[in-house]
Amino acid sequence: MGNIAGLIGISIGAVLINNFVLSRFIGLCPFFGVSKKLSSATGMGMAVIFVMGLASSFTWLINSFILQPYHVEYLQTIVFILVIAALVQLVEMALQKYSPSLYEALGIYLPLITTNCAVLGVAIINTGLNQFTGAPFTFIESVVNGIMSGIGFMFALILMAGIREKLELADVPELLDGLPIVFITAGLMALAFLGFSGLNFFS
Amino acid sequence: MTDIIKLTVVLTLTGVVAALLIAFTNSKTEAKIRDQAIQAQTSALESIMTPGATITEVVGTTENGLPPQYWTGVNGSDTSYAFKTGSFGYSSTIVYLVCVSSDGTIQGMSILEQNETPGLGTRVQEIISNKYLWNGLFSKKEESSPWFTEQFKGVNIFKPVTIEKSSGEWHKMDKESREKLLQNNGVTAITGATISTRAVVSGIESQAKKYLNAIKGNGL
Amino acid sequence: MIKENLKRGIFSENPIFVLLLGLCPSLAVSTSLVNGIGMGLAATFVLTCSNVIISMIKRLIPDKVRIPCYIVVIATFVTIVQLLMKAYLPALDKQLGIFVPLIVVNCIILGRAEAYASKNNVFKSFIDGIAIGLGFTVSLSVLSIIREVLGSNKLFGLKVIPSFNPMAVFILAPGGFFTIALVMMLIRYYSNRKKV
Repeated sequence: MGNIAGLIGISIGAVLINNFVLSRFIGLCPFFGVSKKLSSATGMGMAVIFVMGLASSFTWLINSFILQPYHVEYLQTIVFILVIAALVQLVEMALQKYSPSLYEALGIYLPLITTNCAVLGVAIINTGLNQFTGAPFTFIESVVNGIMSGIGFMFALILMAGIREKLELADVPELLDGLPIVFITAGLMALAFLGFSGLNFFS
Repeated sequence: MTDIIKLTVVLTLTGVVAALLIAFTNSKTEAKIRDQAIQAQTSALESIMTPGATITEVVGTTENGLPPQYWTGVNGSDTSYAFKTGSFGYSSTIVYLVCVSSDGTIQGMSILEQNETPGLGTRVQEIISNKYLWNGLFSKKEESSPWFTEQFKGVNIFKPVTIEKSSGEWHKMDKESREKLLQNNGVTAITGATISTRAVVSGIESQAKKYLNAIKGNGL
Repeated sequence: MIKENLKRGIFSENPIFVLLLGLCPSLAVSTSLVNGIGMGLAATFVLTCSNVIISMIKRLIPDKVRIPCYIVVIATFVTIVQLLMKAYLPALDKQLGIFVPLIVVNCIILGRAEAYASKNNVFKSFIDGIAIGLGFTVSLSVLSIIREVLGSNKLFGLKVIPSFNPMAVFILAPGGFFTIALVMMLIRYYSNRKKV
C-alpha cells in the first residue's frame, strides 16, 4: 500500500484529465442517451461505476493469470467482452434476488451496460501501461482506475443532465433545438476539461 | 433440463469455432506482425546513421549501465552509436532511436512509436509539406523527415539541452536563427505540446548520455 | 434494391447523424481523413461479415443465447481485423489504438445483427451490411474532412487552403462535438428548406 500518491494520481487523471467521455470519447452513447433527466443519469452512473469496478478486477485477473502466461493475448477482445456480458447478467440476477430495492434503481440500466464501450475500454486500458509510473497496472491500480473512470463518467453525465434539464426551458433557435445544442454544450464542457490537461503531478 | 444442455452446447460450440478462427488468423499473421516492427526499426536506423556506414548490432549485457541492445556505425575512422530509448510523454511512451557520435553530438533521430494527443503531441512525427492538395496528391512524393527530430541534429547530449518556447517552431525559422539556436544547444517546443517535447529532451539527456558514457567507459 | 439500400444507409438511416449510433469511434478517430476512412472500412468489414454469418446461423441459435452468440461472432471478426491491421497497416493500427477493439461494442453492428440479419436472408443481410457500413464510412469522412481542414489545414499531409491559419481546437476533443453539431444543423437546414 506504499503508493498512495500514485493512486491519487490515477484517480485525478481518470476523473478530470483523461475524463472518459469528454477527452477520450469513450461511452458517448449513454452520455447522450441517458442524460435527459438528473435521476436517470444518477442511476446509470452508479450502475456504470459498479460494473466498471468489477469488470476491471475480473479482466485484470484473467489477463494476468490466463491470457499472458499462455501467450494468447490475441484472444483478449473476445474474452473480455464475454466476461463483461456474463458479469452484467450475474450482477442483474444477484441484485434481483438479494437487493430488490437496488435492482429497482439500477436494473433497467444494467442491460445497456454490456454494449457500453466504457467498460470494455477501461479493461483494455488496464492491460496497457500506467500513465504515471510507465509500468504495467497492478491489481489495485487497475481497480482504482476502473472505479475512478466510472466516477468520471458519472460526473460528466450528471453535469450534462443538470444542464439539459435547464435547457428544456430555454428558448433555443430552431436549427439548434434538440440534439445540436446538446452537442455544442458537450463541446463547451470538453473545452473546460481541456484546462485540466496541463496538470502534472510527478515532475 | 434439456434446454440448459442445448444452450450450453450451442454457446460452447460458438466459442470453440470462434477461438479456432482467431487462432488460425493469428498463426498466419504472427510472423508478419513481428517483421513489421523489425523492418520499421531497420529503415529508421539506416535513415539516421551516416550514409555509407557499416551498421553492426551489439547485443550487450545490461551490466555497467550498458543498453540491452545498440548499434555501431563505422564509416572510415568515425564511429557513431545508436540506441533505442523511450520516455513517457503526455499519454503514451514515446519510443525513438537516437544516433550520436562519440563526442556526444546527435547525428540523427527517428521516432518509432508514440500515441500522443492527435493534433498536438502527435506532431513529433509531423512532416511539413509546402505542396497543396490539388497539385501535390498525384505528383511524386517528396522525401523529407519530420522537422521535430530534424532540429536535434548537432545538439550535444553532454551539455544541457534548452527548450525554446518563445521563438516559434523550428520549421518556421530562418537559417540564421536556427544556427543561433544550435549554439545555445537548444530545440524548439511544439506549440501546445510542451510535455511531449520535454519528454523527448529529458529522455535524451538522461538515458542517451548514460548509455554513451557506459559504452565509452567499457573501452568500446 | 441495392440502390435503395445504399440510399437508406447513407441518407435516411445514416448511422451517425440520424440514428446517433457509433458516436465514440466517429468522434475519436475523425481527427484525420486517413484515420476516418480506415475506421469506416474496418467497421464495414466487421459489419458485413457478422451480418452474413448471423443470417446463416440464425436458425441454429436458441433465442435465449442469441445476444451472447452474436457478440462472439462480432468479436471474432473484430479480432481478425485487429490482427490483419497489425500485420499489414501497422501505422494506422497505432493511430486508431483502442478504438479497433472497441468496434465490438459499436452499437451499429449489434443493432444491425439484431434488427436486420436475424430476420433476413444471407444476400439481403450482406447488402445491408455494405450499405450501412458505407453510410458510416461516408459520415466519418465528412466529419474528418471538416475537422482536419479546419484544425490543421491538411488532407493526406498536404496543405488545403492558402494562407489559412488552422484552429487546433477542431482536432481536439471539443472540436469533435462542435463539428457534429454543425453537420446536424446543416442537415436540418436543408431538410427544412425542402419541405417549404
